[in-house]
Amino acid sequence: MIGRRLRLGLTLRLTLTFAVGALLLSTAVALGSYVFTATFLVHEQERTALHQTYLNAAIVRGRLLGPQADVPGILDALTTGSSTNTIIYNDGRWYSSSLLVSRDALPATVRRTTLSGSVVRTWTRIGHSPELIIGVPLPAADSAYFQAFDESSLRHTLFVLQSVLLAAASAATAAGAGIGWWASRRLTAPLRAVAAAARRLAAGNLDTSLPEESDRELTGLVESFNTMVATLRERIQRDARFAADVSHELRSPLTTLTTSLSVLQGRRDELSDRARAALDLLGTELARFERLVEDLLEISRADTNASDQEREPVRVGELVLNVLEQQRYADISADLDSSALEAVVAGDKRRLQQVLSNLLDNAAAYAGGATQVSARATDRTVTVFVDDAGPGVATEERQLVFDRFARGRNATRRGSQAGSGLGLALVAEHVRAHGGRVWVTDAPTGGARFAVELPRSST
Amino acid sequence: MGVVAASVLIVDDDDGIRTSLRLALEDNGYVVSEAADGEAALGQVKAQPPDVVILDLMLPGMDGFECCRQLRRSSDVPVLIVSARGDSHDVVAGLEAGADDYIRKPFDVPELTARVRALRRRVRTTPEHPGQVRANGIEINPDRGEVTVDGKAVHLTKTEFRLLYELAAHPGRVFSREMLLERVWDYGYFADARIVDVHIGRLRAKIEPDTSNPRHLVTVRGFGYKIDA
Repeated sequence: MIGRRLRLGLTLRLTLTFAVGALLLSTAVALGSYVFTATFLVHEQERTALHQTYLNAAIVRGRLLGPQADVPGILDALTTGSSTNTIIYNDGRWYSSSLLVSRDALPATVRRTTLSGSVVRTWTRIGHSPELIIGVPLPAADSAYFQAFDESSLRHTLFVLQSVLLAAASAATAAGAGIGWWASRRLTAPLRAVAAAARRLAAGNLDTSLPEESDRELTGLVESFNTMVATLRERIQRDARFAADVSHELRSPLTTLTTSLSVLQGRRDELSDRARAALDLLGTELARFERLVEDLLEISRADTNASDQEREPVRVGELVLNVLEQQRYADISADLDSSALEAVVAGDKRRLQQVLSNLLDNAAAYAGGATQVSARATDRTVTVFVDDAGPGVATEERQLVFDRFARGRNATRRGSQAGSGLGLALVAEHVRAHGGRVWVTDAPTGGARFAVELPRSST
Repeated sequence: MGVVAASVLIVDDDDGIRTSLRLALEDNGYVVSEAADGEAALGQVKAQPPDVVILDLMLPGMDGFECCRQLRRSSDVPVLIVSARGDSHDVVAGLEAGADDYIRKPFDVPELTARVRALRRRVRTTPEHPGQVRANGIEINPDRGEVTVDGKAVHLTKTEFRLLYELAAHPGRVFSREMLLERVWDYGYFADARIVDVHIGRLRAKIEPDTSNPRHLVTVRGFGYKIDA
């Protein structure tokens, strides 16, 4: 959980960092470009306009000072662009090349300043259009010449420039975020691989290892992780092997013991009463000891992952009925519906049999024996229930009973029936190895109900 | 137990096991001999063939697998291997070396004697088993213990003989592994079906010209084995 939060945080942080960096950088570049370009364009425009106005003003002055000065004729003769309007003040009267842009279009300060003898250059607004107005006094002719430039196209150019720069800045920010995300994924990929491997390891898969890493900075991490796994595996397997070796070494003397015991049992009649009682005790305890050795061996085999499991199609119903056929389970009723009888699982028959007989023996040891075995199937699973009429299992002990050598509070030993203490742990191990689950609840008739759910095989 | 007492050879390096087994088996009416290692066992089988050999797989010097292989070269005596290892690969290896059945340590004496009895069972002529059998080029004469495949004599161990007879006596019928375990080895539902598979493999090696493409003894996928008429 902590690993996950850290991973998300790192990715998010890196992504944000890259995005913010890209945003700042691209905004600065865009803003700079805009200011520089706009200033340059406006300046150029003003210079051109001024130049043109001076030229025209010179022509106007010449004409006005010449004979037969006809102001409207002068206006018509001037060459200006279509977006430029000219206004002439002469002898107290105003002449305009356009009806729209006349004397009133000129700001009062412009008129005053020009007429008082200064060149004026100013920006104003006529209708919706930005206008550059330049006024040139012509004192020799007692006149003034004004030219108004419609700069809508300049405004449009600047608007397009703005849009392009804004789009570029946004794209750069998004790209920054993308690169940040990608980089963080790249950066955290080894972390995620380690986390996933650790999870597999925790789930009991001791064959877990990380693939060789070419990145020099990560080689250390990968190597130490793999070394840790190897050490862990070795230690676990050594422990399990030790248990297996001990049980294994016990098998030969156990064989001698059980065989000799059977010789004695065959000659019971030759013994005294006291010797017979001792012999019976010996038989009971030897059987229990044998069981313990077998269970220890079995469970250490599960621990070392020695998967000698024979997987074959097993009909669960058939298996249940075959187990119940044994003499010691004669009092147990079976309730299998037709779907459960048909259900097939891919399993190890011997281990599945052990699951059921361990549950039955557990019921015999602690609950006065199982009363009923039932089985139900769904499309995907088949579940076997073992009910008993005992005191049941307390809620807080329902997990613990599957632990090794766990003895519940109510689990008083009942004579010779007591098991190895590994029976239910083995049930849990075997069921887990089959991809199923086992749990305990209350039986409908009182007592405990152990349930084993196994996945059905597809065939 | 029959009129003639059955003889059993116990091959085990553990004194305690040999002695206790001798006592138990003798109490059950068997004639018992002992060998502490593989070489001694081979010599004893040669000198006086027992009805059944009980062979421990872990022996000093020549191990049980090798002993079994050498035994098979000259004898078709039923061999029951005793496996103390947890590893089930050993069981298969032992069966492939020529053993007829296996039992795990520690075992009960009744369990052991049941296995020995099953190994000693011979093909009996009954209405179901009518004596001489012919199917798909295979000819079996149970009285003389002779088998010919496509006219050529084949030498089989007793268990292989019984297995082949079971299949050939019911031409065309498919036998599941469980059925064969019950009929040939006298096992119940929970027996190890690999015993059948290994024996089928050995049988094919002897009667099939091409084991990868068997003509006589065919596998019916998902069901079992059969011999056609």
